[in-house]
Amino acid sequence: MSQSLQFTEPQVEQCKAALDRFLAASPDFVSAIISTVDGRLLVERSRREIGGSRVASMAGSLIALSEALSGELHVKPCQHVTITAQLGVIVLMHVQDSRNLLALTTSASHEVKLGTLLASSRRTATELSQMGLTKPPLTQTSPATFP
Amino acid sequence: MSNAPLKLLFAGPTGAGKTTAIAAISDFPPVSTDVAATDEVSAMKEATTVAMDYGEITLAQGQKVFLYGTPGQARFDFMWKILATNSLGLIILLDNSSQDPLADLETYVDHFRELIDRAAGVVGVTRAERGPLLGAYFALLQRKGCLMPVLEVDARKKQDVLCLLDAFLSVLEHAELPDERQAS
Repeated sequence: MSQSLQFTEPQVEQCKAALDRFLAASPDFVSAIISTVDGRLLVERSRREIGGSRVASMAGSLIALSEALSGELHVKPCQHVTITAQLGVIVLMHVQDSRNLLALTTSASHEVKLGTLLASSRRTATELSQMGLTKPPLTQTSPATFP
Repeated sequence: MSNAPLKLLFAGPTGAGKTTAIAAISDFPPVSTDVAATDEVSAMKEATTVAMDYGEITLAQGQKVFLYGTPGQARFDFMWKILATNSLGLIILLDNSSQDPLADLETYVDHFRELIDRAAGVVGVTRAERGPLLGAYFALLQRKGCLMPVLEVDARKKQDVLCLLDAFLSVLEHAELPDERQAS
């Protein structure tokens, strides 16, 4: 069985820095959330108050449904999900690493073009995937002995 | 009962057997939204449902039943509400070997009370050989004024899940009687 996934404090700081860089790219980018694929909030950065835990759970459901729908229509794997709402745009995507356990959800005001948000979100997801955040902890073995 | 498709919801805590029960009776491999579990659930099983399960069964009389399974964790309660919309009833599945299955029953009865009162509900108890006797579930339901059949079920066995479905349909027929009387 797999072990429960938790970030260490340095990993949280690394992620916060990455999300801050994302938000700094445009004043119209509103929020960025890293969550697990099963809907747990890990790191959240936002210009306004949001229910990060709720968003994380909804993101988990939506990405899984999109993956299922992509399968039904024979076009999987799903690369990202976009939502265009009256007052803004939302992008959801997997953080593609060896275990695919993380998701990134970003939002921006309606002033932002979807393509701009998508490109910045992809860049951030790639950055996160290169951090090795979901590498399983090293197995504890007996200490090496030296003659 | 009309021949329009019925929407039936399977709810209950993680690991109670909702995904397995739907897979056991569905006419086709169910639509699944299982993903890797990354929390304490991962000690119990590798994957967990995060949006819904969906299957269908066609009964002998040609009646179609749409089968929806909810995610177990409370953080997905927004999906419980979405999936309960227009549902004609609920099967609550409980794992008798879990830490406090009676508290689990109370949680789900409280959450879905409106649906149970409006439509129909049945309780299925998995791993019944471990944990409280079925009488304890009846007693709790009685205390809450919410009488529903409670059946022992092995979610892996098609026959067991069909029995649960039969019980649900019987309750549903009785639930429909007042409307039919009004109509006549």
